[in-house]
Amino acid sequence: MDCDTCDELLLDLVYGELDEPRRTTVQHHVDGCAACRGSLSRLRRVRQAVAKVGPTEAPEPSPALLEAIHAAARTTAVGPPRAVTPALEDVSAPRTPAWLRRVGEFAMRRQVAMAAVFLLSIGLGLRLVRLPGNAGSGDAVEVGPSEVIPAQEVPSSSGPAGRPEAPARSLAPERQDLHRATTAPRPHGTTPQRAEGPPLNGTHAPAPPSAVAHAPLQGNPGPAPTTPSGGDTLPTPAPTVVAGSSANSNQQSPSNVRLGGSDPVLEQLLPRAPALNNDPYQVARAPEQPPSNALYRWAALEQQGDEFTSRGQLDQAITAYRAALANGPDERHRTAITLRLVGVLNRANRGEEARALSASLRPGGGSNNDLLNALPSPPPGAAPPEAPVAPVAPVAPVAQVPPSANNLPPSSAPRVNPSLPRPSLNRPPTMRRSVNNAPMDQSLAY
Amino acid sequence: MRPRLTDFTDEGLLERFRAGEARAFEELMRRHRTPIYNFILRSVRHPHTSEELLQDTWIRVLQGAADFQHASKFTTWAYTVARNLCIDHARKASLRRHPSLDEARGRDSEQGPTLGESLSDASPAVDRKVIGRELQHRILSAIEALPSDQREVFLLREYSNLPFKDIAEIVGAPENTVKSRMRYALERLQDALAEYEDYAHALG
Repeated sequence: MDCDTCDELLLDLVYGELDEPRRTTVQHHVDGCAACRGSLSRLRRVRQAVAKVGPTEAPEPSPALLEAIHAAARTTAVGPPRAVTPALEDVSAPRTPAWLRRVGEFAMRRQVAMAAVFLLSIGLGLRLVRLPGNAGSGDAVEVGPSEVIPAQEVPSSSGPAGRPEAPARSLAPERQDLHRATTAPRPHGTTPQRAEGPPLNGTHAPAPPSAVAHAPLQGNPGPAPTTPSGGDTLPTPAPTVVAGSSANSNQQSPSNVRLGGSDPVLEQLLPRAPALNNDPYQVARAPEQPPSNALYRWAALEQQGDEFTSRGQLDQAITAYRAALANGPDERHRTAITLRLVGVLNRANRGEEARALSASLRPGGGSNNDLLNALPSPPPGAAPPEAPVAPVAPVAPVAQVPPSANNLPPSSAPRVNPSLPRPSLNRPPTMRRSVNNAPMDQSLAY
Repeated sequence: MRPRLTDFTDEGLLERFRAGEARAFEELMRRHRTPIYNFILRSVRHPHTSEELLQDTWIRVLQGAADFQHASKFTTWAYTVARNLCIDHARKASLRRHPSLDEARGRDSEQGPTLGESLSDASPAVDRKVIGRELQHRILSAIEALPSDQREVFLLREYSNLPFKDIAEIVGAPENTVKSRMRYALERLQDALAEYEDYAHALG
């Protein structure tokens, strides 16, 4: 063995990674070579020095994390067939057919995801163009597929609120909408989200959101559940209300609404966590993305779904949940809504669709497994854009454009083994201090 | 007799967790939380942030557990997750235009001690000699001063005790490259610590 070869193996020797024959060979060379012996000695000395730094004990896992683990254990048991002991096997767990998994894997591929983002971006652009035509039916303005936000200052001149197209728009409504776009709390451009709060809650939202949210689904009688007054029921994505997201989410998910066949612990955990849109990581990754009132639509639709569920109107609930999913909720709420949808589908004896949705809940699979590429997974059974309550193309969940490995320093660009699963970006509650992120989020958005 | 959870491999524990046994995941956390935490801590330096990132790591592992494939080791996967979170955090920090409430007093003074201070406070053993603390400070400063690609390899090999092959998988670089980074890291540390080597020997 020459010195070069030996030198290359010194690290392995120092860290005990050589098999016995090679270790003997290297040791033999070192014994007879002063230079290599010196190198080995230096390596050992520096190791000896750095060993003086002992490990710091990790904190105990939080109760919320332990709770999430138990919830996840129950959820993961509902998965593809695995070799488990009969005692542990949940016989009621739906199994995902292989072909459905393949479809899911296809849907998770990078190209598909990019195409989806592209198409949805077009949808967003079209929607921006169309917005004026959808303006006002007197007391409500169509701002999305189904959620109707009251806008008192807009006179009724341009047709029904639920109209998806406005082929013959007059200029006047456009100007009105232009005016509203600059004053109303529904920014499509660069209006900071922080500015949304007060006008929305005060001037522009005289009625509880839950009440107006029912408008597109008229014909489904039944009183809306009690909703708190004011704008608090809207899960405003503005950073200023991050601290209240827990309460907001609880309001969206009345405690009397139970997931059919799902885990109440998980149900409770997921919606309560801070929304991904408040995640500073995400803002850092996609600072160019403006806030979108898609956030309002899916939340209102989710709430509709909850209310229908509580009244036992399963079909309407399914429609509402699917529409909510089609309106680009963040990753966390997508999971929460999907879970509820699965439960309702099960209750409605539509197990096949429920299984397809269950499969969509699990990240990973397919060829696109970059851990940082957490595009919102399009659930195979999720609502198509043409869902009845979503006449307008769903707004791209652009805020969820995943962190790109390309943005990382070259020296540390994360390359992940393709076989690794791709976790989603869901977060459990209490994992992150949200309040302090507010100024940073805003500063990063521009 | 039913085998104890401590007898299972990481992958075996994960399999049990996927079968619905929550305690299996708790055992996984018990095994790996301190090494992973130290990897994060020495990458991002701030204890509070590190705790959050550790939690995030577990959550992501939790979420991905259903689709974990045995082509990789559990540790490789978990450290990959943790590393990506650290990179995200670094990017986020670098994008900050001004100090946020989250880190009101700047990088070196964020709410609480530096890593060195926290280490010396947390570990009674290092308090036995002032000179020991001084040495630790010097070592930690030297580690923090390493280029990130060298530092992560060093931390994973030296403190997390992962083989070079696994590290190569985690950082997405060839094994030879990983070894080169390790070599550079050790040389830099050696230079930085040269004047303290006598102290190290004295403590040894």
